[in-house]
Formats: sequence, C-alpha cells, structure tokens
Amino acid sequence: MNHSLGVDIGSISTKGVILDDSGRLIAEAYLLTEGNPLGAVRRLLGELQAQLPADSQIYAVGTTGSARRLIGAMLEADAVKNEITAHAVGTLSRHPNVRTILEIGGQDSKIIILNDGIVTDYAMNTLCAAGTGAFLSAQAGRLGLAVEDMGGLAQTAAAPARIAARCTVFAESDLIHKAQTGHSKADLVAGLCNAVASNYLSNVGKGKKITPPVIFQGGVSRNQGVTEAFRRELNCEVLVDPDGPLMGAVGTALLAAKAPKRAEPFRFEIAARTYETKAETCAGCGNYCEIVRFVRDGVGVDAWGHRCEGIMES
Amino acid sequence: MNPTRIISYPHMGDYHIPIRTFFERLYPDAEVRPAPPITKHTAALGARHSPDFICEPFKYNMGNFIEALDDGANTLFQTGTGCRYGYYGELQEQILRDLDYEFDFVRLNRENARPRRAYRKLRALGSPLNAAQMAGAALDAIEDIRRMDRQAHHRRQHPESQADPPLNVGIVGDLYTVMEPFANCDLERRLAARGVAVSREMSVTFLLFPPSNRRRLRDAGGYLRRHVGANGLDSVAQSLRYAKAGYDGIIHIKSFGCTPELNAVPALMCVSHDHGIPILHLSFDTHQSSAGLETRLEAFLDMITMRRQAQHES
Repeated sequence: MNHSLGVDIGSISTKGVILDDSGRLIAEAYLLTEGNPLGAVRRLLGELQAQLPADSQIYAVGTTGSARRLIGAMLEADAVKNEITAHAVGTLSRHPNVRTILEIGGQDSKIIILNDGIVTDYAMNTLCAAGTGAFLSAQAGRLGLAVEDMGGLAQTAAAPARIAARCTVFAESDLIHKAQTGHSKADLVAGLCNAVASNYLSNVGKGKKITPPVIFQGGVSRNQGVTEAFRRELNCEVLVDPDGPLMGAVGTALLAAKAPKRAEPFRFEIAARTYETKAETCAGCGNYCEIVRFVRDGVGVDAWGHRCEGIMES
Repeated sequence: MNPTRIISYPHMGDYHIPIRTFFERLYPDAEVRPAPPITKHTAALGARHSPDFICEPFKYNMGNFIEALDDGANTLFQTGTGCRYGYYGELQEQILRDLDYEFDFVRLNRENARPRRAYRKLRALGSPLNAAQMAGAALDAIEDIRRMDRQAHHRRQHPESQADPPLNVGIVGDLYTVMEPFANCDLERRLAARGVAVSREMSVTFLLFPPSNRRRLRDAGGYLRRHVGANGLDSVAQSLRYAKAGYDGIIHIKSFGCTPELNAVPALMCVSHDHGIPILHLSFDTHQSSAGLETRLEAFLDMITMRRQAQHES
C-alpha cells in the first residue's frame, strides 16, 4: 500500500496524519509541541506507527507549520509547504465547495478566500498576535479557567461584556476593569470570544469578501464561543470540521503524494537517530547571522539563518 | 593645512557606484568613501539613534552616517524630496551633532535640490568646477545611472531558472524599500531564485524623469483623483498598468508607517478587486526576520501558480 505522511508542527501543537492512496485518513495524532519540535515529532511518529497496519509503507512525506524546515530536514520530506497552501489543499480535499477558510492558531491567524477550488486571496496577521490562541490561553489563566472550558462557559452568558477588540493590550485592560466592576465570569468570557471574532474580522479579514460556505479551523475553532460569535457577525453558517486541526497535515501529505516518488519507503526508525541543532553567530560580517546547523548522528545535513552562501562551505 | 575632505553618503541599492564617480569628478582633491555596506549592525545602530516610529529609510541612513563617520568621513551628503524624507536631513544632522561628531553636512533636499542652489552649495564646499563642467559631470552621472537601471531591469526580467512561461510579478511601493535590497529582505533575489520575472518601474531614472502629474493622474484610472504624497499615486498607476497587461500578481512593499503608500492601499485593493489580480502587501521595519516573509511569499507564489494553471485548464 502506498501511504503518505503529513506533519504540521505549529507553535503550540503538532499534528500528524497518514493517508492511504485514495486520500483516506488511516492514522492521526495531535499533541502539544511544548517548545520542542524534534521531541514532539518523535512522540508523534510513535503514536502514528502504532495505528498503522503492519503491511503498509509510506512513500511520501510532507511537513508544514512554523517548524516545517527543521522537521523537513529530520524526516527528509518530499514536500515542505507553507501553512496557507497546506491548509487550503487539505480543506479542499474534504470540502471542495468551500469559499472561505477562517483560521486562528496559537500564534497566527489567517483567512483564505477560494473560488472554484483555487485560492484567490489570503491574508495573515502581521505585526501583532491579537486574538490568537496564545492570547486566549493567557486570559483563561488570568480568570482561573482551563482554555478548553472557555467556549462552554461563554454559551451560558446572559449579557456578554463589551470588550475592546482592536488590540490585546486594550482588551486585557478592559477585561480586568470589567472583572473588578462585578461582571460574571461567563459574561467576561463571552465578551472575550466576541472580541476575538470581531478583532479577527476587522484586522485579518479587512477588505475581504467573505462568502459561504465558511469553515473555521485552527486550535481556537474548538472554542464554541468564538464560533458562535463568527456566526452572529457574518450572519451565515460557520462550519467546524472535527478534523479541522488536522487539515494542514492532510494538505501537506497530499502535496507530498504529488511530488516525485522517493526510491526507498519512509522508515519510522529515523526518529531513533540522534538529532542536534547547533546555534551559532557568524562573525564573518556585520550581519552577525544567527545560524542554526542541523546535525544528524554527528553529521551536518542542513543549515539556515544565513544571508549569504559563505556559511555553507565552512 | 586643512585635513583632507572625506566625502560619504548613505546607501540605496548599487547607486553608490555612479555617485562615487560623480563626487570624484566634483572634488578631485577629496577622498570619496561611501558608507560601509548595510548590515544588521547598521540597522541596529541606526534604530538606536532614531525616533522609534519614524520610517526605516531614516534608520538605515542614520546607521550609514554613523558608520561612515566612524570610518573617517568628515563630509556627509543627504537628499530627499516628495515626502517627509525631505526633512530628514535637518533632524539627522542634529542627532549626529548631539553625538559629538564633527563634520560638514550638505543637504541637497527639497528646494536645495534645484540646480542653481545645488551648484552654489557644491561650489561653496570647494569644487573647482564651473557651472558648465558641473552640468557635464551631472549628465554623465545620469547616463551611468540610466545604463545601470536598464541592465538591472534586464536582470529582473530574466531570472536564471525560469518556469515556462515564467510568472510575471510587478513590484510597487515606496522608493527606498523598493530599491534597497537590505530593507526588503532581498525580495527580488528571492523571487529570482524561484524563476519569477519581476517588473518594477521605480528606479532613480524614474525619479529623475518622472511622468507628468497629469499623466500620473490619468494612469491611475480614477482609482485616485489626487496626489497622496511621494509615489503613492505612482504605485496605483503602475499596478493598474500591470493588471491590464495580464500580470500574475503584484507585490506592494512599504516601510512601516509610510504615509503616501498607506494612502495608496485602499485604491490598490479596488484595483485588485476590479481586475482580479492578487496583491501582496508587505510592510518592513528594521527588525525583520525573513521567516514570516518566506511564508507569505511562498503562499503568494503558490496561489498565483495555481490560478494560472486553472486559467489554462478552463
């Protein structure tokens, strides 16, 4: 059997899937990155391998997410793709008619506009992480809640508090102020969810024509409070696919399957080899590039972070 | 005996080469020593001694001046017209004096850039050339610049490895960010490495021989009805031209906080919408990691590649 493996290594979570040759999901895993992408992928591969039928072989490997290059070097990936293309391809494989993808992840958020199965426009948050998962986690901690419980609590709110949406610093001071003046936790959380949705629409979604069908994915899509806020703001149905968080991994697996075939099948034993990253500052010129060398079993296999080519020889 | 005059000036692209020739002719007894090449150190140095929210050309120039003075220069040149850049010279001189440097600062900015005034200033600084000789030197310098710009145009149009047919992308934006590769994270080189044929009208030749105001307004096709400062109107007019010529995409780059280009954005969004041409908007400041740029650029090129394939199939 010809399977393909897709790994999406985000700032907060690491996702992995194995697809069979018809694109069906036969193994999946989701775990936290915890600031250690190499370790996370090692654990991820263990979980995926356990779900895999004995006779199956993997002939395509793709990576995406912010650690795609590092993990791409580790797994000798056939496709190393940016998150936008990977999410679009993955989502289209399940929902060929989708016109708008809303995505809110741990550190970034994006919007992808599609027409007839083609990405026609996209945007990504630029300078600030307002309204991303990291912001919600921080506020959950402030309110003494687990981030998973926020969505449920938001739905019990009687009168959602109005919270400034433009900037997380203002949102946070609004939140503290409202808490101190006696608003209930449910109302605060509901207000926060509304703020995330309207912040997203006025920053990332600015100037974009949002047409249904709309799909909402990324870690924050597990928060029903934000989903409900999107439904209200956009005045249309907003779909949340239970497999939504896996769509980046699915997309990059599909892209890898289209890449030229590798001669040897992928081996899970690759995870057992030793990997090291060595960071150093090049003193060759005033750029002081922070170079990361990727070393497998004591042998350098890749390096990045440099502006010039000089480093590759040294 | 007076110490030797050592002339220096900030960088923008490769223009330090013809400028050097020009100054060497103007001041046969002086030494011409362009500022050391821009590195991250230059950027950090400049940012440290600049107002925080000023646009990045100010910061890079500032870094160039300080490194030039430390390198022995005692005569600095600055220019600028069109936007607030024209007033940067005054502020930069004051900051450098506050840092206790001793130097002559020659501003050929705003009204000082007019030929008669410029001639008087250059003479006062000790140039032995008379008006006719200086005009001859200026004409030769302009010819050098035109030749340089023509060759650069040819290089951009013919990247080494080409997709067949290559993607056509137009670059528009504020003059400094467009013309200084360090400021735009080597955007053109990144595009060339992916086989993209790049067009850009912005160059020093363009600034020396700009289209008439009537023509610019006409070329903006009603998307802007008046000037919005510096080259904002040009960005719109050029984008409209690229859209009508069937380009695959446009990249609009500006330094963070550039008012004229910010003014152009709504008009550019309308051009993009009406003509169905994707526009990638990028803002740059001196603290820029290239990872975010790579993700956005790769996603943009994937998108325009897929759009083109879809157009061919239909």
